[in-house]
Amino acid sequence: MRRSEVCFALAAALLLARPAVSHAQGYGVYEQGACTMGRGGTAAARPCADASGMYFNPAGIAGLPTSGSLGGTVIMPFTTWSNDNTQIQADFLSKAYPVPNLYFVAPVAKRYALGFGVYVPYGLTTEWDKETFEGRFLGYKTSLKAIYLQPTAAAQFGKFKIGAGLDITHLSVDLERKLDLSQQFAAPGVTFGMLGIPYGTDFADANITGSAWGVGYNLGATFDLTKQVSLGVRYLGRQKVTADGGEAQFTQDPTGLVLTAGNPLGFPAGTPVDALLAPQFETGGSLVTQGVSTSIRLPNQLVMGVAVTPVKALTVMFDAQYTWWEVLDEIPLDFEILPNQSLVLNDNSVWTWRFGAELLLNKEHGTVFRGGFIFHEAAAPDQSVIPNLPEASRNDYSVGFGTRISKTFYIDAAYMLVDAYNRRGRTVALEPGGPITNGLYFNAGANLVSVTLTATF
Amino acid sequence: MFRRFRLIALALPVVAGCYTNETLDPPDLSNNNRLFTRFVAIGTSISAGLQSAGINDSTQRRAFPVLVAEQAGASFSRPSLNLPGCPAPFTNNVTQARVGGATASGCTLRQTPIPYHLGNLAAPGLSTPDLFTNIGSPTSTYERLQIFFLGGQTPWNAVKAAQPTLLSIEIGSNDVLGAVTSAPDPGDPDSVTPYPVFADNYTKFADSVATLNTQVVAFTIPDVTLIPYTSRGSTYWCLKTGACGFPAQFPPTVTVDNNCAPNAAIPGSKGDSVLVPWTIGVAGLLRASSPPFTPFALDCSNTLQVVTPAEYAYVRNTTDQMNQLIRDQAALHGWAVVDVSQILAQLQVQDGGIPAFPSLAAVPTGGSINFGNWFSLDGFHPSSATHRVVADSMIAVVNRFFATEIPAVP
Repeated sequence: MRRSEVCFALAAALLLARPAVSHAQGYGVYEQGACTMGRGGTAAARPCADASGMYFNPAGIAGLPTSGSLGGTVIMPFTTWSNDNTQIQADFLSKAYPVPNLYFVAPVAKRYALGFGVYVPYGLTTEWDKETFEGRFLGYKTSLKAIYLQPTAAAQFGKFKIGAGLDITHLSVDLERKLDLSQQFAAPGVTFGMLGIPYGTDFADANITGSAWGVGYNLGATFDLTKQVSLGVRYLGRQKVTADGGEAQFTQDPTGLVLTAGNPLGFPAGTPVDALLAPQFETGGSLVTQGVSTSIRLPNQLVMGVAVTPVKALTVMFDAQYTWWEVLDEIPLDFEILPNQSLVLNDNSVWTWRFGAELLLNKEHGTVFRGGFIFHEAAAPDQSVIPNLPEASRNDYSVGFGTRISKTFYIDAAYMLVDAYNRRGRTVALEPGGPITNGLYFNAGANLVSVTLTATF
Repeated sequence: MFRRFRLIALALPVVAGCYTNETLDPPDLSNNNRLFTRFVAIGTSISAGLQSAGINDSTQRRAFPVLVAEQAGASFSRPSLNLPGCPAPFTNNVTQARVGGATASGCTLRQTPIPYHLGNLAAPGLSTPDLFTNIGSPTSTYERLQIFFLGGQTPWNAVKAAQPTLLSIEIGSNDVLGAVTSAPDPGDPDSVTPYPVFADNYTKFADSVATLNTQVVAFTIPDVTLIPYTSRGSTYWCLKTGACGFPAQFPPTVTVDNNCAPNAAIPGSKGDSVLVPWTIGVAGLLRASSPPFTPFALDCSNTLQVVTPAEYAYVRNTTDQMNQLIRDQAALHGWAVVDVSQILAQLQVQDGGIPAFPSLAAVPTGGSINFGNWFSLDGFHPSSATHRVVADSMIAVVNRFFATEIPAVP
């Protein structure tokens, strides 16, 4: 076999990983305001009065005074991976990721209101050690940001409020991963692994980035059944975001491997494997910087809620949310040079159950204490629980408070513990005859701290 | 309404209760206190599982490290080679026929999917000068096969990457065996790794392993002069002359010089200290015994035919030196040691022992030269039965040294 015959199909190894967007159920950012986060995300029937309602239920801004809210949530995820056979463990890199939000609302006439919000309902970053983590070939860093710009209008007709928002979405994705030489083809039908190259031989660092704009909508309505009981419903439309201008960059990593005499590739003894691979990173090779395009569908959500005020100072709330994650059945990835791929996701549509309560402690200052509990079902099937986002069913526990700090300003703060169930998953690409899962993601979850400052004019 | 809400609230534990924490599915290592969590074997063709001059998944799964790992309940992946092998094992050592009709130079590829964590890092032909480099001895078996077993990694780098909790080190046989099996010059001293070189490499490797925080089981080097690959010159003389208490068996076309006689029969002869490889002596005998009856003359002073007494002494003395170094390093680093000489002693008295001369009984009917129960058809690689004995010896040492309770191979 001559040098020119060493070919790279880069088939499975490059792109078998699923992008992070598919796991927003597990790490979707529903925490778009400290008030709502403190009461477990319950807001469909009675959104918080800080203008963040334009995300949780656009009808909620009707009746609000002119106000603006600026806030942010800091997410500190944690997860440990343990391999079944080797018992080698690895942790998420310990980092904090800020997710900001901004809302402004103004009444128009008596019944109507207009608003504008900027928030990030889908956003995550997972990072593992790029040198040692065994799942680095599926992704050692996955970053997703879906920034929603939402002009909103709402109206109130007695006990009935309706609202609608137009979501202009900027989605950006960054997938960083290593490429494993053992999975590449040295000749048609013959991988380097079949020649003996060990699994986990890093030979390239791949960075796939892309961004695009999409359009969707956010609808909501509330109805005050009685003075004590309110009902609400909110529907977030699905979006299809097509990114044509993505880029895939590849950097060669040294393998340090040296061929011996009589090697099946037919090269002289002492030939460095890296020298054989180098042309793939040069003009004419497969691993030069190239364009990549894809289309991603962001799923639709339906949230139905009820809020009850059994005694004057106490409000309890319940929301049930259904998310059509099944729209993420597969994602195409079309490369300029490398073979096109289609990522099979097969996520399941699932429910989220939210329970919240808010207790008014001081009427004069509007001081309230909040608490909440959330149960999320997992959207990802077993074979899709991977390092990019090791999703699992989870329980969230939240507490929060809010109080007026001046005539103009009101502050909300909240803390949430995300406690994920231990979930079996994998760190290796699916292969015929290989295991669906090869270990356990455990001690998984996140600490979230959120603060929102609201100014009322 | 409040009643409905309470009903919903009560439903919560039911919903949450539908989900449970999934669990790790690790191997059951309860009989070894998790010592075998990441068991790694580095070694020669013996650890790799080569038999009858060939290796494939069928022989690899019979290698003693695999057997030990099975008894320990450990996950232990090997670099499985598709059938017929790389090269394929003999099915007949007289005709040199191999499994599947393969040739000696034929080589199949590794099976897929390739394992994530390779436990058996042994590579045929590995000797101590190869531990830290891939390009030390350009024409060795190791050079030819190492990519299939170590994938271009040096043995040390492969061991380090495997992060062993227990490492078996079976290395040294090829540092001395090459002298015995050298085709152009049996006993060639230049084919023995000079002791200082061996000492430097083994010590460096031991020091490197000491940085890994792993437990170690080291194997001493077998006395390669005891394996049935060779027979003593005196055995040939006795079988030719019938002077040693059993009848003459060689045809007239075979001659054996009196310098092959035992010293007791002809004073001054050194046939007891001369080793004749079967590939020369038995092959010559067979050629002389069947048409066209090519005459074969064995001369125990012919260094191109035999391992001479001086070469024999050099091999044994060097082996002794090397084994002493292995024991010293084991003591220094707190390693367990499997004494291979004890295994050979056991084999010599069990199930027919190690034959002084291979059985040719099956050859006239198209069968193979037989080296007894303990050795495969190449005369120097252990048979599956021996691998079971070696595995049990290692298990006994591990149990004694590490207070484990691993059962013997059934």
